[in-house]
Amino acid sequence: MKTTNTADTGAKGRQAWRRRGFIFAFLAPTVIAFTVFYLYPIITVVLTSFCKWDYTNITSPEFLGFKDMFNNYKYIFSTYPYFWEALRNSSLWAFLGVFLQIPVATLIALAFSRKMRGVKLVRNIYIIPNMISSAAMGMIFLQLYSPLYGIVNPIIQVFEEGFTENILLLKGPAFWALTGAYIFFTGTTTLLILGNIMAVPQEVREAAMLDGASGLKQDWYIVLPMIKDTLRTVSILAATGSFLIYNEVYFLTKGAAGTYSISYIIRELAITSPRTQFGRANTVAVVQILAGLVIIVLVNLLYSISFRRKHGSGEGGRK
Amino acid sequence: MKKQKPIKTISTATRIFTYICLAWALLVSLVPIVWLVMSSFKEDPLARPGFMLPESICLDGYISTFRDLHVMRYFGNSMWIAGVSVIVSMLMISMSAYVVARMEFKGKKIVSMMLYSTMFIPATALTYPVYNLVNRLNIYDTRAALIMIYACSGIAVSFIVIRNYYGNIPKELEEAARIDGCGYVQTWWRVIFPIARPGILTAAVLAFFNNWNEYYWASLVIIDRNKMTVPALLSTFTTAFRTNYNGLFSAMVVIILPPIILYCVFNKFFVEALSGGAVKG
Amino acid sequence: MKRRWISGVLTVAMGAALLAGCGEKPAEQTGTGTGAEGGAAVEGTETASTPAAESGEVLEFYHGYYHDESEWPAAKVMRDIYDEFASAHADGPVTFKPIAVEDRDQIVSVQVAGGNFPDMVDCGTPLPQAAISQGLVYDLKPFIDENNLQDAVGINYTQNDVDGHIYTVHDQVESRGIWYNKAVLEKAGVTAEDLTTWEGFGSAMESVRGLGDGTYGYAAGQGSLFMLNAMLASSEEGKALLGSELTVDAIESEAFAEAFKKTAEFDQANGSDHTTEDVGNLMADFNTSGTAAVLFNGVWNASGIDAGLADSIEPAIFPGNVSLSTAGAGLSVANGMSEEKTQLALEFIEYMTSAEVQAKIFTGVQANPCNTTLDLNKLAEESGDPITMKLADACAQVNAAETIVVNLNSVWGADVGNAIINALMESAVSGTDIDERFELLKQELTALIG
Repeated sequence: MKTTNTADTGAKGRQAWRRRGFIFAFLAPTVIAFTVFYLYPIITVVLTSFCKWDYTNITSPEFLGFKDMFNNYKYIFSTYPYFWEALRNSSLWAFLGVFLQIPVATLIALAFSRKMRGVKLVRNIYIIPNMISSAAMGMIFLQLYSPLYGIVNPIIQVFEEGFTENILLLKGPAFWALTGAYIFFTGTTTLLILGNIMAVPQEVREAAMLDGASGLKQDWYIVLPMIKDTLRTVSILAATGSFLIYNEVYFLTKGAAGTYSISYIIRELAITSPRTQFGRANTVAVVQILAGLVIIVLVNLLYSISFRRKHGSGEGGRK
Repeated sequence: MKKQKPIKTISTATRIFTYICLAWALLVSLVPIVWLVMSSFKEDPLARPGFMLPESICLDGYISTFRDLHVMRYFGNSMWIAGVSVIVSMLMISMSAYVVARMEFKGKKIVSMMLYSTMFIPATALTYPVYNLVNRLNIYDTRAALIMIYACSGIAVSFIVIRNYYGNIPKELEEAARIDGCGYVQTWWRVIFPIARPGILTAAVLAFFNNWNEYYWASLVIIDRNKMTVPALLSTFTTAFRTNYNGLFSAMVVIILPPIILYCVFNKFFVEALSGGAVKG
Repeated sequence: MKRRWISGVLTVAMGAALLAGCGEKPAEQTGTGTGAEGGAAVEGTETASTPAAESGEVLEFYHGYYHDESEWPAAKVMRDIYDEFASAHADGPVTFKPIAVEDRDQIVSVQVAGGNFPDMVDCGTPLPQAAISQGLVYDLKPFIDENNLQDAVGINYTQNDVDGHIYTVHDQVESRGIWYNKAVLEKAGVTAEDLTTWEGFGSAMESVRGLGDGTYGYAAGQGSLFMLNAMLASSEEGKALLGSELTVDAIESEAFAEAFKKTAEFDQANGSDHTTEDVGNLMADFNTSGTAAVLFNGVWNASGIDAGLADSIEPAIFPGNVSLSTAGAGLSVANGMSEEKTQLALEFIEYMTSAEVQAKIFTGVQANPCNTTLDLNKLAEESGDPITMKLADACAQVNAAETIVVNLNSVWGADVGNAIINALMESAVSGTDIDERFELLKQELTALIG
């Protein structure tokens, strides 16, 4: 076929094929893993959310029929008592992930980036809590929050004498107690951010310094815009991770005092319920997957808007 | 070589602010740890709660953790399972991340979206399909099952870390290698992979921590206690009938110790990965 | 050099991982399979791939007694009982293989989801309804009837009867009453006599709180569910509710409302700082430090009492002469196994409920045995062990109660139980409007059963 072609185009064609082959070969393992481990289950989840699938027909999910196909959704949205509470909590946790966890992580990363005494030691210590599984952490905090043995109630008693309630049972405080049990352990996130801060070229910093931007000002105008891609990524990680919170709920409250989370109700429906509601659990899972997509879009949007503005103001400052 | 210069230029305000941040970081990370370690030395942690010093140091929990629970066996299992799965997944992901980071092809957007999407898929949703798969592959109740699951899970985080690292590597390096006559595979293996090693190591250590602490899948696909991983230790202490807090806390200290030691050993690689020095060269 | 070294390591590691996976399989064959069509195909290939299943069959038996002896001696006693059976049948056509696992119920639920059932399992939580509706579980009733084992299986015979079938036999009865600290009550100026009515109980708790030395009434939360459970049993209407699955009528009933509100009032007076979703968190206050007056726990708590408090802690039944006794789920056998395997499984159930083994369970495991022919007090005296005597006392009182009802969780489901516990825990916070919370709970429960 290619006999008439010049050697040059033949080589190019071969080159293109080789390139394609390389791309294919290098992507294949990950794509296969994805397909087997994620795609297939996701499809199952979505399809079965339209099925009657509970203890009566556990091996053979049954399509609800076109007329009733949204029955599970109707049940979850309007009848199931914990769904909205769980969605609100999980969303709020996702929000806090972006607006509390990431700023804290960034501030600490900036602190770690300064060449001051003690930084290295603190940095090494700071990562330790992240090595404790969230299950173990949940157990530790259960003890810290205990009204009889813990360390939190004595602190509250300084401000409010005679306070004897169990804060894990108070609507409102319980939510924040759960939040406090995980949100400040940003070790890995901080390290990821720190890595990128350190990668900011020294020349850029020096140039900024000549312009009179040092310390916090430099961080704000020069460093942050330069690491915005990383910030966006860790924000997405923090938001989705917080949205999926399960262990904290399980170990601290079991959903009492308004602390249900989306992951927790999925397990409640699928496992804890003696009526084994797989179909309905998967309906919640679909909501969870969609929420994840929404989170990614929102965080991306947030970063493209806020950094466009910041970039502008940064330039203004330099003039 | 300008090491001295930044120190001089840090203003007092920045300095104070930095120390506040450091103090906060120290407080947050030490409170649970110190509390845990202190409690593990108390004979009855509930009798002397909070940060009360132990009356006398009680090592019973540690002794029984090592004597009765065959911790070394669990450590061996965990090391093996977490280690092998990390190697497999790092190899897999550093390959695909390279292609996505450096090459243009149809469907690139879809591939990255796919991999990102793995972040928010709940394990509960995966449970039954994956369990059935494990059964069908005939690897139920084997370490291989867990290795497979760990290698495939947590794709997103590793992918992001490694891809970002690739993104920082100057394109010229590759071009030079290509001009020298390296093929695609060679370019990646000889030039890019070694340079990206710190980034891959960071991802590997993160993944290792995750796998080390994972319990949900471990409890699901492994039945034989001889093959169980370390987090299984925790659950053996929380029985419905009695609560051995001294033992529980001791076991928890023992569980978190190896990752900490590992971190100290690999600290240099972390710094290397973080400073990004290799890329600039 | 370095690169080659790394790649070498990678290859070796991956190869080893594969080998580890494949190599271990034949040794640890999980002969799970029976039952539905879907599973059968999979199981078929599984057995085929095993190099010669060593001619003889294996009956695998999953149980939850994995604990080290130093941690929970009873686990060792149970394992010994199993091993004795195994060695007695070592020469038979089928090998009996007990396997200790941590999460037997998860194994059951996951296998059932795949249309399988373990050969034999000692369930911890109620048998999934799906297992029964799919016909995965063997009906034990004909065997019990043929061999006149009614007394041996005791309360199982009535409580675990599902439309004329018995799918599970628990060798121990989950029996619950209350435990009280005599010394604490005395100090507060009340006696055990006061705990025989709910009114008396309420004022007794108030007196205990009045001591003002940090001593409190009881660990509420998970424990309060048993209180509510017992209160339901004190009216005919409530007792009927516990006889069947939860219905909308039951949720709206007077008896349920009364039981919830009364319990919630007690809990609120008791204080949210003594409220926990896991009673184990506060158990030491009662058993070790003696700072709680009452504990809602099973008869097995006898073995948890600190030696220093052994003289002051006594068992009793709930006010209103009520006790909770639940057979619950226990030994269950897969349907459709080979005749020899089924035969051995049935023989094992007969063995476990025999007077000889039941006596061992009573003295060694410190549990209420299901076999009703045993004379517990005599056994306890023979043993001469004060803990066992306390246990015998507790069991005897529970068994002799005027009203014996089943644990609410086992008829209404754990999700319903959790919802009630959460509502009770929230009501324990002072100032909570109990009526309002109850209305909310009614909505929750109605939705849960829908």
